Amino acid sequence: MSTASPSFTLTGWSAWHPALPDADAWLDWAARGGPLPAGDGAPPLAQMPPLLRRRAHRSGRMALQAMYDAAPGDDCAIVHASRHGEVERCLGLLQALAAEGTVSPQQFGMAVHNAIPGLFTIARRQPLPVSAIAAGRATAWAGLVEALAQLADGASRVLLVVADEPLPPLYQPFADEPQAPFACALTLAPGTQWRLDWQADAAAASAETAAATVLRALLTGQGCRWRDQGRRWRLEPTA
Amino acid sequence: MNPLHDEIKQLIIHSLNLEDIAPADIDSHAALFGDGLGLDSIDALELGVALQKRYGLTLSAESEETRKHFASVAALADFVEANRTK
Repeated sequence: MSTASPSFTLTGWSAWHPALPDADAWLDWAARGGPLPAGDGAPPLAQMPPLLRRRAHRSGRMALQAMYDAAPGDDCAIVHASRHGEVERCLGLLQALAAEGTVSPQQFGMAVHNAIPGLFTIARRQPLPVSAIAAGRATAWAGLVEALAQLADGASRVLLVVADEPLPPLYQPFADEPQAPFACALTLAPGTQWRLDWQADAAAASAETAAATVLRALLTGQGCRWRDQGRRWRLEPTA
Repeated sequence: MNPLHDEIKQLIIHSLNLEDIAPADIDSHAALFGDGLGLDSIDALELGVALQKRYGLTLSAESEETRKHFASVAALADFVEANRTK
């Protein structure tokens, strides 16, 4: 099985969380272990023109900040992985629909799962290919599989963006993993630095989020395993 | 200062989430879309919904008339004045 495992090289990363202001803070978090801290707030997103920035709410601003910091080139595809997407915005739309019978066209347009990377490509005037993925608790892994598939298909670079915000209070009873506002953007290129594989596995689910598990592995250089939804994922450095 | 102009400017700023823009920054006679304020087609839809809710107007998305009414704050104010039902 390992002979067929897709591989890649990480050529850059950026990440945003309200309590982790710079790369050193992220490396420290990765080395220390433990979940991402809870937190609140949104990045200023000063790089984005105000007329476009006004369209992005917190979860989108986090993802956009990570994308701006990653500064993808014109040869880069974007894979946007988010379990819940613009969940606060979607809840607001549903509530408006129930209460008033009409929804805001602007909010509706921005509730689409690929709206945030789309907004980024408009703001940067870069017509990059965009894919958007949600796959339950395994969303970060599914994003990685999609990114590696695109590399295997000839893409020279893929920017894998993983972003989620805590569920709104109304949905909290359904929360099944740690909640923290967080986004990261990983630049992946063809290479053999890391190897991904997965297999069926019914063992107990990992407690940590897939996104935090993957990011910690990449920042520390140490492999990781993660289980849920009947599958075991493994990301290992090849060296 | 025409109070209806000011009211419509407030409605535009609020419904379109225009950060850091005050009513005084919007010229009543300048183009709202394209080169003027820089609003786009999604903003036009949003503004149309806001105007319908606030003033009880009926708008046709496709008509050339509607395009003229949305040219500027002053044009919108004339349209609202003539057609409002609330």
